[in-house]
Amino acid sequence: MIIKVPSGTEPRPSEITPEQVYLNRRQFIQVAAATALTPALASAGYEGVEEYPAPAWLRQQTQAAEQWPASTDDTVTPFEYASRYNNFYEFGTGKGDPYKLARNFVTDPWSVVIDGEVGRPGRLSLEDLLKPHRLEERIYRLRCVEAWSMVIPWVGFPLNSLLKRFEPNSDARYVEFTTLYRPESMPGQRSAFKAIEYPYVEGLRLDEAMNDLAFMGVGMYGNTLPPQNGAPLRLVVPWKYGFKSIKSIVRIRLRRTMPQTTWVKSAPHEYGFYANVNPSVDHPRWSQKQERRLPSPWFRSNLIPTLPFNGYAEQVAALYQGMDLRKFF
Amino acid sequence: MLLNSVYPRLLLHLVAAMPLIYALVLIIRSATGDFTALGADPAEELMSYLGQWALIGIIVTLAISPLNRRVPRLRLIRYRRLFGLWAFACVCLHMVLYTVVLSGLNMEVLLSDILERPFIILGVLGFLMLVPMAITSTAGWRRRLGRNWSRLHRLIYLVTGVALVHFFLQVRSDYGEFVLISTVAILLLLLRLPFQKLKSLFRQARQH
Ligand code: HEM
Repeated sequence: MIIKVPSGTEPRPSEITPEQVYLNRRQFIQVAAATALTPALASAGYEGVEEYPAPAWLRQQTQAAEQWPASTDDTVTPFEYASRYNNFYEFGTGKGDPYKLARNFVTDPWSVVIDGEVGRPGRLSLEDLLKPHRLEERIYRLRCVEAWSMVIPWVGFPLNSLLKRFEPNSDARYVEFTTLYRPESMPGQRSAFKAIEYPYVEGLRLDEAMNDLAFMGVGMYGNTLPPQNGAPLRLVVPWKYGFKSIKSIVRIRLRRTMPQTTWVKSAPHEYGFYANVNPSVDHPRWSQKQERRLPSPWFRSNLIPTLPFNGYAEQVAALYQGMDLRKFF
Repeated sequence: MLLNSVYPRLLLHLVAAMPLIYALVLIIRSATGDFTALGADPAEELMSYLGQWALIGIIVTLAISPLNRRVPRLRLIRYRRLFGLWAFACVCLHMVLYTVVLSGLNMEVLLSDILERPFIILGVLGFLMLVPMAITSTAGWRRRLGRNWSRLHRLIYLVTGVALVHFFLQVRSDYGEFVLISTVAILLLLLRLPFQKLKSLFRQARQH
């Protein structure tokens, strides 16, 4: 049963923001003040950002996001690349298809169901879902299993702060995410020859989901998300291959058992549940030793070595202590 | 008659080279900053474009001899070689893009790809079979090889099969394109079955 979560019971930000982030943010503000800067807003300084339809409140909230101090220093991939080179198979198989076919994808109104092993299940409008969260901008590396990568400034909030609001109970061990199923506007879902099942499902172990790096994105490049990038709400897990970072989420379910995710179902010997970026475990189709960092110089590849956990080992390696990552790929 | 002049040949060269001519257009547009031409990762995009046109080129080549049999008057068989060679050019460029640009000639990566990845192994097999066919495609070689020439060039059936599996193995979310292309290819391969012989065998069997 879905119970409407009563409004007016939102936790205070200090309750939901992990202390580390909270402190970091304060530190950052202090540094910013010391160097006589106003806290930089996320929207500052990205070129060629196209504006996509979004409710005004969301745009405002997104544009007011604050910088997260731990962002990568890697050069940010231009917006044009991040918004026109996408795998979003609901909108076609070509990398350029989602840009074209998601144009008229309607993402407002939007609601998300949170259920399963939680104390306070419910269906929330996007506005209610976001209300208690302070948005921040985090620049993360994104590594696709196809051996290319980008660096993207996301706007959003930590997943753990969202999950805590709904009070996962002691049986909750996994989080399952589901993408919208709307075949009338998603041509990939209508195809007679689809090779994967829809709706798209992804998942995390609860401790992964509670890791501070796991992020819910509602914007990028200082603005709201383009539909091809997973508007209006998506997951961003930077230490895992891109397909884990599920787009256009309509359901978040806390579970006792490991969810059956779309790619694992479609090709279990190729895709694992964990899908941590790992240069020493190759995918049957792609070597994972190196990656093409986009943008590449024209007709040359900007090849760089791939790092364990996409360079986030320090923050996440402990989650997998004692696990054989060749077996749990 | 016009059909016997050089013009049809030139025209068909142009038709068969169309994928490469258009590739050139795409490259120029992409070089001049037109993002819509080849997108964010031009080399990748062009490689898959060339892979697809290589396969389509092979299929067109396969269609020539059945067509020739239907309409012998046009003597289409004269043009089979040019279609085959342009398809081979697509295959070569497809492979060059993969080895030189996408893998950056990283020998460690290339070697492990060629030894370990089934779809790459199949691609390479296809290429290795096409090489002797391309070399012996001249009139001189044809004469010298005699009956063996046809035997050698029957490798194209194997190449088609290998290329189809190579394509199949990289389908991710949708089989649509694969189903379309492989249906045409399989129909063309089925046409090669010795129908007359089968029919007479069947008849004989019934009479007994
Ligand atoms: C008979 C020769 C070949 C044909 C007809 C052929 C055809 C194709 C086709 C149709 C695709 C799919 C394109 C797409 O839809 O994205 C493809 C992809 C590919 N081919 Fe080939 N190919 C051949 C040989 C080779 C060789 C020799 C190599 C490398 C040594 C190679 C490497 C690749 C790679 C790396 C991909 C892309 C894989 C991906 O996107 O994940 N191919 N090829």
